[in-house]
Amino acid sequence: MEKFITTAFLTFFVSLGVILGGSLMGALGASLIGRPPMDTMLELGEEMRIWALVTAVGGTFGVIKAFETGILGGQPVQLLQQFSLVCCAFGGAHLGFLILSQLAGGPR
Amino acid sequence: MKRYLAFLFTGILIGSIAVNIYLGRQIDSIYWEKEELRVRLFETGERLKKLEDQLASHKNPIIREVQVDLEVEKNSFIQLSLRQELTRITGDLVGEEIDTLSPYLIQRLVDGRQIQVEDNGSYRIDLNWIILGETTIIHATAEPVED
Repeated sequence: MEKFITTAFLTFFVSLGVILGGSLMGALGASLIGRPPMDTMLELGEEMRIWALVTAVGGTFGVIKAFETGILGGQPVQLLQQFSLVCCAFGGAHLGFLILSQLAGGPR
Repeated sequence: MKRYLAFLFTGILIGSIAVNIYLGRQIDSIYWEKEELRVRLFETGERLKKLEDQLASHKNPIIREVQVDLEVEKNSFIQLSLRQELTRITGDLVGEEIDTLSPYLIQRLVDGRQIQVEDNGSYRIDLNWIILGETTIIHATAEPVED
């Protein structure tokens, strides 16, 4: 259980970091090439949300395998754990996007 | 040493991101203003081009011909002579731009003028009316001047 909580925290913050880091660095790049930084930042944040989730849970194959084990192997706890991890990743990505929205002056 | 460089680089990145976020909204608004101005410049340029094309195709009309209608009581020979003289006088009007030509100039050119016809005395020209156009028509009456 402790390992799961650790993984869940890591997943949450990795997802948050992917969104925040990617978008903020992207915004910096946008400034350097003469594009609007805040608009670019929000665009990137929105596009990266799903990829942050995928990155945080460690790629697609492992998760699908765990789902398969959970459903076909009759281990609902593992299935629930994987689902919780995905939720944590989604939460981190969404929180990252909310932070970006506030930095850009509210949702557009 | 490399660690300090990494710190420095990270600091530069964090500082740049902070400044970028701080000034981001201003940069955004300036960017959109620039885009709007660029579009307006394009529209104005297109309008100017159209107007220039219109101006190039629009030529100012000029006088191409001057017709003199003259009423004279006496014979047609005198009328012909007077018409010839009036045509000579008003001949320089051909080629003048109608927009810039004052009709009073033609009036002063013709009205009240005395023309000597060989062996038939002098005639005074009274201008009746003018039609100013590419074919300008001058209508006048000639009366003999009593000596």
